[in-house]
Amino acid sequence: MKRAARLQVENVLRAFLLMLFLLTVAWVVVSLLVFGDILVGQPLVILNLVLAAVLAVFFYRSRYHEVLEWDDEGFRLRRGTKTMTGRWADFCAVGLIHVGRGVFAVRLYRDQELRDCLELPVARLGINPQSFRDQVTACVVAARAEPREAASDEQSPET
Amino acid sequence: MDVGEYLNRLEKNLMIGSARWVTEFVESFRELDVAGVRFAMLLRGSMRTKGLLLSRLFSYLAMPNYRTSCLVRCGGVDERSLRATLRAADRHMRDHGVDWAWVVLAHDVPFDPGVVRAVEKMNAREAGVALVDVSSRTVLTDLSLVGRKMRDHVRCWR
Repeated sequence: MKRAARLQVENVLRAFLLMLFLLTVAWVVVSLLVFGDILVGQPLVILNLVLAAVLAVFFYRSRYHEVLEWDDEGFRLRRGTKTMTGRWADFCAVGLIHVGRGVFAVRLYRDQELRDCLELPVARLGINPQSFRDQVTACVVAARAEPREAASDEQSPET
Repeated sequence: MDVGEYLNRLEKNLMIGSARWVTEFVESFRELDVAGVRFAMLLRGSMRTKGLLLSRLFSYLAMPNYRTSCLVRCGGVDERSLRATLRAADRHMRDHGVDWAWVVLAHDVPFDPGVVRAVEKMNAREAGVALVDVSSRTVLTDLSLVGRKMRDHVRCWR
């Protein structure tokens, strides 16, 4: 099974800033309630930054980090703690989509009308979108051809 | 350059290259059947570009919200299959509410003179047709405005 995962710096930064903001707000509230004033000092700032960094790592891993694993049968996409699996045979069309700023993703469509779809964020995972799309298209075509061949074999009269 | 490489370059040029000045193709499909005709590539998009703030506002206020498509067929074409291709493109436009489309026929040998004459005579308002000979790097388009507009954008050799 092939595997792709990449540290998403943008999301790490987002998680860090969010944690820093929440810790600061929490400290302001606690400090006002306990001491009646907002205590600020160098050790507190350093502690805040370190705590924010540690919490950001956990937050990033539980929410943003993406890992894609795939083979000829199907794929498994893990985003944070959520996992999504799929079989190539369940899809009928593959599209390459430009999501903006030169970033591409691959869309897998379940219906011929091209409405119900699932998006694989391949560019974020450091995969070449065009070659991945070609690879997935070949897998989808092969996976869809297999049941048809099996059905035609069953229908053909035995000699 | 072979046809496969040309398709990759065309796809990039249409989605993130010079064609964005005309329309924004956001999605591309390969080997898609449309009304019984297999297209090597099909792109769809619209004339409302996304942009950040000012370009988005300008696009919203000034640009018509036309849906667009680009259908690319590879391999040898005679006059009969050209008609079938254009019928399929027309069907695709009607089914998906596409306002105008580019039809590109790419091949690695010179096109049949009958096909060239047929394309030269065309002057449809909603569809532009281009014949791209990848081996000699020549592009021939029809006379319509849509056809003339696409000439520079399908010429992606570098």
